[in-house]
Amino acid sequence: MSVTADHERLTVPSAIRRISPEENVRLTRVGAGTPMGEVFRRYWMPVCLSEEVPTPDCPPVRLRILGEDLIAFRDTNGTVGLIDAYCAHRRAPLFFGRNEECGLRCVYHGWKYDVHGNCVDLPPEPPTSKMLRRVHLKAYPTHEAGRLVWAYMGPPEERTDPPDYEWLRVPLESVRVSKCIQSSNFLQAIEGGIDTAHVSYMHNNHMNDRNQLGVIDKRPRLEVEITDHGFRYVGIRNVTEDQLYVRGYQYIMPNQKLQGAFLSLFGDVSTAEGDLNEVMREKVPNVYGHVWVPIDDENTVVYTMRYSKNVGEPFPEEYWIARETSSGRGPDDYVPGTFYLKKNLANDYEIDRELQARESFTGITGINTQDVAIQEGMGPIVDRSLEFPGTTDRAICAARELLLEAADDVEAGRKPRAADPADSRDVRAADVVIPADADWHDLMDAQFTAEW
Amino acid sequence: MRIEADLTLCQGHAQCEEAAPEVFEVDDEGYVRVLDTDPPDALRDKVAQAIRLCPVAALKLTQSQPA
Repeated sequence: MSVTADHERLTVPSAIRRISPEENVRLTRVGAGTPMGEVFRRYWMPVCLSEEVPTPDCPPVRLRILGEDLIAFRDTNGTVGLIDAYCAHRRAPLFFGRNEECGLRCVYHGWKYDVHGNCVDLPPEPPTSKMLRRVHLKAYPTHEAGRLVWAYMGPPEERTDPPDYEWLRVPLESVRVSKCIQSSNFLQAIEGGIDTAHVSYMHNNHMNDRNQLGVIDKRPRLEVEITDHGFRYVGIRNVTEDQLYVRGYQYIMPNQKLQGAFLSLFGDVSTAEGDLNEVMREKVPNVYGHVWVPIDDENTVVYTMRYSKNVGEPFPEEYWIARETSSGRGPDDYVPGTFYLKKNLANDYEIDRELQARESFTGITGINTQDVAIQEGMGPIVDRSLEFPGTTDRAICAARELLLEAADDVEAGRKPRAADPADSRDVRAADVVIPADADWHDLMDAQFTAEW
Repeated sequence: MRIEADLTLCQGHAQCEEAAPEVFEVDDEGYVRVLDTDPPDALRDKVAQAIRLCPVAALKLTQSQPA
């Protein structure tokens, strides 16, 4: 039962604070029955790329989501099933199964399941047996949108309509997605994704060019506004005496962020003439984001998406690949046949100390490889009770407060914030250069609203 | 003759239904239903066969209740 009307929720960000060890546990554990695990089980989650199960009767895919071992398969009719990874008979792995004639057949004794987890064939049993009526594997409802397979893993009575984010309504030629696995808890990955301040440091790959949009002012002022979907926030940087760069982000509960990528962070703004919004314009202005889906407490899938800002404009595959390559997720950056990066903790992300001394703040190549190096390097689950949060951590602190609020809500039997897809369907992010004497709300509010 | 079925044991193998369809039926959920808990003596052999065939020993014969 959902009760929200008489319940007070956060409307303004709480004070920046260090959280307790107990809160840290509450925030980071995702198994069934844990507070955060139950929060995640109130939202639809991406579980794999549609292209991992490209065609009817294609090989099944082994997945681990929120600590649960599952198998995804696309049946003869094209429907994607997401079921228990192990056969109900004697727990044989269905990964080796035969995907045929509208079901996945275990290769141990031939038991067969449909996409709903129902057993539909028990060949070793007598023909008169009706035991299959009793055999049901755990199965979760799925939905396909935005080049992804989504699933709802919570209580059926709490299930909402499928997600309807703007990027899921965009025609496929205008949206691109990727999948990458990192070895850390989901929360430190989210925190990196909503931390605008580190962009000016960690992602500074050209230290000698001090006039790039992203680094020209290394003390961004953060403004966070709590919303029905989570929060939006801007990092405001001085560009020139009379212009500000306002980089806008959206945090959508519980594990998604969007940011404006209308402007290029690279290139010298000090010598640019004319409207910086034109001069610094991205080749294909886009909205960029991630969804972080816990594999378990210590591993996370990072889905990355970009979609064209302008309605009707395609987002070309080659441009996407170029951007992904710059992020460290190019075709050659993965261990072949996996979603793991070749650069990893075991090889120190191939840090180049000479490059670090000369040009790159980190010496690590690949924008998101830099993020992964820091997030994995913290250890699987960072101990936040040891932190010293600063003024640029406003957004991170707000996300933690919202997640703790959601855990309280779910425990009390209430729907958590933004479980209803309507709360996030019109959300998008933007980044704009504005006159220094303007209020960014006046110039940007419209740009924070979905157009697709 | 009186028949008792233990539904915590029944797994829907339906061997009873095969042996004595007049007395046993496995429903859509895969649980046995005893159609006639006190069947006539003429069915005694079939019922005994059904009880013997049940792979999970969910069926039991007790004394017939006095009328």
